[in-house]
Amino acid sequence: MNTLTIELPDEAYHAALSFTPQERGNLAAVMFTTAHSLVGGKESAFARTKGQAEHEPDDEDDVSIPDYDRETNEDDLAAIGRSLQAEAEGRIISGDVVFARLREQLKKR
Amino acid sequence: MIITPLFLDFLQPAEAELSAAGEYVRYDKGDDAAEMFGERVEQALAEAATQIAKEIADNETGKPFDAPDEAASIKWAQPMYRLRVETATKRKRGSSAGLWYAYYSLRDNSDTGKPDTLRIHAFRHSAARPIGTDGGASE
Repeated sequence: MNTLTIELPDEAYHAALSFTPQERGNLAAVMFTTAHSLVGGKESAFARTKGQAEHEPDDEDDVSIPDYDRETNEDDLAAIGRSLQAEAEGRIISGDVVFARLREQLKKR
Repeated sequence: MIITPLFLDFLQPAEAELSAAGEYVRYDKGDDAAEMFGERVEQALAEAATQIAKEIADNETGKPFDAPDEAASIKWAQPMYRLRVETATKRKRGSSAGLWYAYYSLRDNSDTGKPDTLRIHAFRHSAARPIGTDGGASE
């Protein structure tokens, strides 16, 4: 039997106490197995589950439609290649500078 | 334990892509949307810098929880990650509108044995396709 320790908010912790250890184990196994099966191998179960928790579906969401995604393509790879060349040449800019420039650029005209 | 966010920086081509993306949003949706776009990208990357720093601190291997992007990592022979950046206030499921991808690497600039920098390599629209594959230019 493998063991996994997780941190819970107080409310969830007290709710979990109402289950037997066997029930807690079964619930956790189902939760993580389901999360992992939704992932499709591209993102971690953690990230996908976290994203779902932060984006609860509402009336406008049709959960039967898979969310949009696509594979990394040749243009993406070429762009990354150009960036690696820039890195080798030391063309690196602090995020603070980038966002200050972007804010200035996108200020209402 | 207090976790220091990763330092965030951009490679020059990625800054150019982000700037062009902002201009595209301004052209397509107007000044307010462009301003909001900039705010959301900044917020999303700042949150990623904090979250990934926490994952690295929590993980015995010193790695983030998310797996690297396979295609980019294999092509360039180093771990390269892809972050989904949502900039629309409300994005419909199944729609690429308002969804961007930030490709990034993790660098150990201070040589401590653990990453301390989140480096943005490319900022791409999720609907972008290579020129010629769909009969037109990339979005």
